[in-house]
Order: sequence, then C-alpha cells, then structure tokens
Amino acid sequence: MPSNPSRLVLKAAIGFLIGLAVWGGLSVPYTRLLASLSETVVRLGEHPTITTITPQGTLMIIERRDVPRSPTAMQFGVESTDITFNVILLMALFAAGRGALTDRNVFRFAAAAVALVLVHVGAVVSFVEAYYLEGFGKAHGGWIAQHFWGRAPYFYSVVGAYGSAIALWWLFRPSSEPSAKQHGTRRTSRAAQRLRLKAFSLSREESR
Amino acid sequence: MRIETQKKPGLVFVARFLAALVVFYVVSALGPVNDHVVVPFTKGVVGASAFLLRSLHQPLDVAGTVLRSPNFALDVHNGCNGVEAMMILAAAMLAFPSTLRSRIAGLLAGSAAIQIVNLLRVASLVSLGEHHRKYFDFVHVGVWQSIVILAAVAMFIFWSWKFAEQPLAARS
Repeated sequence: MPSNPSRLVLKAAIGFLIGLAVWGGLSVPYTRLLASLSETVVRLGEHPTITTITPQGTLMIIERRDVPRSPTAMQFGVESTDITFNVILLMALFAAGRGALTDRNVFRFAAAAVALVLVHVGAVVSFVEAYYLEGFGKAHGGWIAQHFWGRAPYFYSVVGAYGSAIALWWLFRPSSEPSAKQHGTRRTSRAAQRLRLKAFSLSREESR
Repeated sequence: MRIETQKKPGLVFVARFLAALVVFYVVSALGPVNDHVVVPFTKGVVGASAFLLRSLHQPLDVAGTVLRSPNFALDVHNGCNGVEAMMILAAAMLAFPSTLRSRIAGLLAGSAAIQIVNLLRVASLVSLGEHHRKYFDFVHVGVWQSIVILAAVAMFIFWSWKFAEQPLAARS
C-alpha cells in the first residue's frame, strides 16, 4: 500500500482540477484540430473524397458532398467533449504518480497524450462511419465493417474512453527500479511484483 | 509466452485488461442481458437515487429509468449507472495476477463502493439540473464521469496492494 494515501489523493485531485481546466479551456481549439485530423483519416478510405467535418465550437458537423444540402435536412454532429473528456482522467492518473513534475514523467505524459489524440481521431472516425452506416445501410461496407462500425461508437462511449486512458497511463507511466527491500517484502509472483512496481510505486521516496 | 509475460508484464496486463473490457462490453450489450440485467439494475440505481433525494426533501417522480423533478428530468443510461466503472474494475482485477477468491471479494466490495459514489453522482446531477441547469453538461461530462472512474482505479490500486495474491504469501 502506498505509504501516504492522502498525499496520493491530493496529487490526483490537483491533476484532476488541472485536467478539468485544460479540457474546458482548450476544447474549442482542440475540436478544430480533431476535426481536421479526423477528416483526413476518413478521406483516406474515400475515392473521390466526399466527407467534410466542420468544427462549430465544440461540435463537429459531418457532411457529404454527394448529398445535396437542404435547409430542411437534419445535420449530423459529434460533440467533441463527449469524446475528449478522458484527458482529465489521464492527467489525474499521471499527477498521482511519483515525481509528477519530473522531466521523465512529463515526457511520458506528453507521449500518452499524443497517443490519446490518435484514440480521439479513431473515435470520431467511428462516429462518422456509424452515421454513414445508419444512413446508407448495407451499401456501406461488408458484414464485419457494418457490425464493427455499428458498435464502435457505443463501445467508446460506455467503456472505451475510460479504458483507453487507463491503458495509456499504465503503458506510458515511468516504471521504477525495484529496491532490494521491496523485493523482499512479500512473496508474490514476479509478474505481480513488477506490475505493482510499474503502476504503484507511488512516492515512496517522495512521501518521506 | 511465459518468458514474454515476465519480460513485459505491463503490456500483458494492458492486453488482458482491454480484452476483458471488450468481452464485458459485448456481453452487457447483448439484448437479453441488457433487458433482463442492465435495465433492471439501472432502475434500481434510479430508485435508490430517488430515495436519497426524497429524504433530502426534493420532490421527485420516477418512471422506469427516468427521474423527474419539477423543472428537470434525467434519463439514466449505460454510462451513468455505474456499470461501466464496475466493468473497468472487473477487467483490471481479472487482468492482474491473483486468486479467484481475491478477485470476487475485491469486485463485490469495489462494486458496492462504486455504486455509493454513483448514487451521489445521480442525485447531485438531478439537483444540479433542477437548480443550476447551465452547469449540468460540464459537471456531467467533465467532473462526475472522471470521478467515478478514478474511484474505480483507486479501488483497484488498494485491492492490488492489500489483497491480490495473498494466498501466495500465505503458502510460503
């Protein structure tokens, strides 16, 4: 067990608040970036390119050039904040770790954040493809594509957003070298011991 | 495979965690499971939240998964019933080396704690929607979703340090 749980909670809470401020403050510019990247990725599978993703605040409006615009037609939009909120979780988790402001931790967080951007792009693409699937039915892709895209956005919304942030934190957070004392404290399997050391060597030195 | 497991336990954990998450999601999304387990469970969450709010003198109607106060209504779906946090906790506990007994005990205790946090989430969101509607979306998406999942992660950390693989230690 971490030697100072209250310090851990405090650090996670500070990370959470910073994450909340960053997410709230940068949502509009980040939506522009996300719309641009997602449009590029969606167009990779189109010949000719027909999809346009237009940012409006934190909303991304999806349109097709092969479908004529009509003032009465409904528009399809994806709310970017519903996709990107997991950055708060990622920041809180990185902040709770040992040496949160060390270069190593900051660089690792930056790498995880870049990977999270790719996850966000993947999520937007899944929403676009699911929308096309709904609109164009069986004409859009084969059986596997239909089932995959039909369920991917819902998966992301329910557990994928959280799971991806937790997985990236786990993969990118700095691991620490086990000390002799730590090795001798408990008889657990090496895999469990290394997992603990990677994920939860929380401020042993720091909290002293 | 064994060598790989020892060399890259973090990677193996993440692979197991994500695989378990996909399996749990697929099972929970099946029609019969959703209709006979998830929806009744969600109705239970809604009923408990209504009980909590009524005990705080908040007038409230309940219809299925919908909580209705005089100026606001909240329909509780997957993602707001705490099941997603329980799935994440279960996936992490399943991916982590431990015994079945430890996992079941951890999951039961962790799920109960998650539902207590979730109860506060639903009740506070109804109250917020009723009295401060303009803050609802921000708090709903940005604050409570992260808090519930952070609670699940915290419970997993506690469990993994305190209880996981205890029998191995006892055997020595």
